[in-house]
Amino acid sequence: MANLGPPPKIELRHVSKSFQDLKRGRETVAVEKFSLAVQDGEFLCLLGPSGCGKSTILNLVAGFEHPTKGEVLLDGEPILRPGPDRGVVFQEPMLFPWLTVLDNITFGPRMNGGRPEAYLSAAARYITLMGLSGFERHRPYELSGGMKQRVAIARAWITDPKVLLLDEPFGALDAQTRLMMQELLVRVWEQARTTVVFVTHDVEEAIFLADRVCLMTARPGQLKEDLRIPFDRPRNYEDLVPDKRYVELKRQVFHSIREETIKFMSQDAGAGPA
Amino acid sequence: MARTRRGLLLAGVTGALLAMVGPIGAAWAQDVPKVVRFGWFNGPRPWIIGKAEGLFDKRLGTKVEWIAFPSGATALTTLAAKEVDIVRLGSSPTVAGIVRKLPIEMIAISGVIATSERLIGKKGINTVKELEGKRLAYPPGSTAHYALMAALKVNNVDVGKTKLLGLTPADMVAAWKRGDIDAGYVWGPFSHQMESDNGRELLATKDLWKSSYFVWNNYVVRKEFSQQYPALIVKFLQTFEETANRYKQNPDEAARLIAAHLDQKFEFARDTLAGLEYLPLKEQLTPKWLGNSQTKETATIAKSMADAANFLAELGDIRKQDIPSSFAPSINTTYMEKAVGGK
Amino acid sequence: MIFGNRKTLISAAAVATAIAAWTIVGSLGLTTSLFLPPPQEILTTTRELLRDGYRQVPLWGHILVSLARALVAFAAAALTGVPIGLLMGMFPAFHAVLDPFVQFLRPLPKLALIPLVIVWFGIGELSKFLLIYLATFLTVVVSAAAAVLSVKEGRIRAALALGVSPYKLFRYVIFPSVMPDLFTGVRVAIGIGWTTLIAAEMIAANSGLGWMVINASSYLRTDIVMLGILLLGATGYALDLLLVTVQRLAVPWMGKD
Repeated sequence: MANLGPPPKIELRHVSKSFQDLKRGRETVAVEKFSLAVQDGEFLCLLGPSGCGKSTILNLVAGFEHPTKGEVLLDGEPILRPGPDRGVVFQEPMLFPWLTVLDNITFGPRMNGGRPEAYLSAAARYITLMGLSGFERHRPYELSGGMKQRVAIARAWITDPKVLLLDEPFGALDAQTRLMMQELLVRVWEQARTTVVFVTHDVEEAIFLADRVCLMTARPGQLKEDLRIPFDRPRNYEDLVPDKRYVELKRQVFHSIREETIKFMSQDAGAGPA
Repeated sequence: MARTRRGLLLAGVTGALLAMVGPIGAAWAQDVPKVVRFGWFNGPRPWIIGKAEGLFDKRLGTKVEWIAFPSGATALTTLAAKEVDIVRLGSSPTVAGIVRKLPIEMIAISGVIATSERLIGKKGINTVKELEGKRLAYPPGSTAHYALMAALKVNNVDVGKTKLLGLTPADMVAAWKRGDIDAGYVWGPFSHQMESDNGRELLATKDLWKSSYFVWNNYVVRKEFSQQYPALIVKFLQTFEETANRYKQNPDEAARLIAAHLDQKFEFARDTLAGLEYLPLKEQLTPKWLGNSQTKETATIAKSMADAANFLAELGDIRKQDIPSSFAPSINTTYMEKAVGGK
Repeated sequence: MIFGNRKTLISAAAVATAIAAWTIVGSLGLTTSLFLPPPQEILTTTRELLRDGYRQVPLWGHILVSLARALVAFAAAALTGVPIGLLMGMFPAFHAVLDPFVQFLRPLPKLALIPLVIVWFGIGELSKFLLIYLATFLTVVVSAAAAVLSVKEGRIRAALALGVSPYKLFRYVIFPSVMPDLFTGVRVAIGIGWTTLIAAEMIAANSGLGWMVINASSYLRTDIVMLGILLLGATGYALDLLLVTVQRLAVPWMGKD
């Protein structure tokens, strides 16, 4: 293969991943022959029905899991293990409850021998960006769900990763908080321009956040559609909602995802209770 | 309202009390209970002949249930719970039970401890006096415990200089083998095990008789039971005497029978049986032992029981003020008198 | 927690009612002191023991002896059990080696071990220590191992994604994560260890609360038995309260994440 220009930031080549399903006593194929390239600075949303393997793809990129077949590359190099060049945010904040907000945010640099003057000023910046000012000395259990997730995002971002991986980070939040968090995330991202892979099953969230939405099929997960999102940044919901292109795009994605959900549900029913 | 409530409370309490005495109430009208419960320990004693041959069942005309106890203390608590009727018990726990107002009466001596309980010392220790400054073991609350303290007193041993350790007989042997103790006062087969492992006898309980320290095994009965079935108690004593006589006539044969029944070694059964003296009921009725209804107040056993009680009070195990002025009321010789007269 | 005060009140009332009922039953003469000595008699006994001691040892001496035996064993059990349990949780092979022994010994009634302990270690303080230690240690080990295994996978992944080394993962993530469970484990273990005190003090003891109860029972001294039980219970309760307080200070996030 001829190498024209720099390789994509993230590349998955014919990746398959299967698991031993102990409950059903057989092998489950989560992802099959999945290929995807994410360009530098791109905000990509992986959208799909639940159980389509989108979290598996994120875990492969994070290095938590290894592909059964195929390759997962970062800057053209195979991914072997998790590392600070890929920040991860989970659905649960997964904060360290014994640490303050500030110590949670600076955890990565502190563990990797960062210089205090450097990480403390970076932390101060993220605390302001994330609206956490005044809560530096609080413990996670003293914060609301949305605030906890903002700490988690700051903690992942402060290491200045090449890629930020978010796995349904707002899935556990209430609808209003979710909207606020989406706008906040985009605002910060517009400054940082980190390559982002954002997994979600929320169609509006995907369209609002992403440059590009990759729609996945039901299990085993494959790429069904690859859509460019045409809206200019900075975006906000008030402008988008009346936009005809937005309405049409939403309709189209809803239709696609509905097909896959129906497929998934009948597939699941056929296999018996999970 | 208050009246009703009090009535309810009274009814509840009365009900509970009735439930407690219920089983006895049911047997009221009969001469013989459906079952008599004997409490025994695993040691070889002449009455085991009666157990092996079902002699008591035959003579008493009812079913006998044998309940084995691991210690005198458990026998006492079981008596308190009314779960056993007649128990062969050591003199020390008997005294403790009477002091604590357990409703029991002592009806006869089953055997006076002579050589079945002995003080065994390590080789190199030759007299009791040499035990000063040594580590001495005893089974707490037992007749051997009392005998040990008596032996130390008689031999002018300063108890404050000795280290006294309460151990169950089996633990005592283990401690002996490790060299953790220098002497122990215990019954067979434990005394034999210690003796055969570099030990020597310093004293047997019989040696204390001349200083008027007596320890013995006796039969105690729950008062409630004996008052209800006095004839049965008389028959029981006659049967006991029958077994004791069988033993005396042919000790080896009796020992063989008892050893087989208890699954113990013949030699052990023979030696243990020979270590006690079985007093004929007639002799027990003399002032030298229990005395009779007229003489029991001044007879040896009532005094020995008072001595044992004072000893326990000195140790701090019982309260001095709880000790009755006389133990004679807890000794009932009328059954023995009838047993002897009726024959 | 909102109902904390009300709960305390209800508990206090329940205890007061129980004592009142006990007093009434005693003063009506419904039972003899052999079966259920009334509180008045327990008070008299307490006064006597405070004045004269029990069997040549003052009452506080019995409490102190038992506490000393137990606390030494607890400390040793925590200091050895926590690291071993954590290692078992971290390394499946190590777990596989030790687990059969731990699971075999743990449910064993410690009374059954007395003859062996005496044969192997004698009748001194070492044997008493070992019985309490063993009971406490095994429980600590099991709970420490389980604590490691119950650390959220997500939390470990979050730390790995931040680039921590295996050593730092243990030191800065797993260890603090297991702290609440460790405290709970040690609390449960100490409860179990305290119950082993009676077994331990059956071995040639001359003092201690457990010994006091056993010895008094040989002479049907139900009043001393009950006093001993009350003291054993109260001391155990006080130990637990102490640990809860330490726990609240050391792991304030317990149960909140």
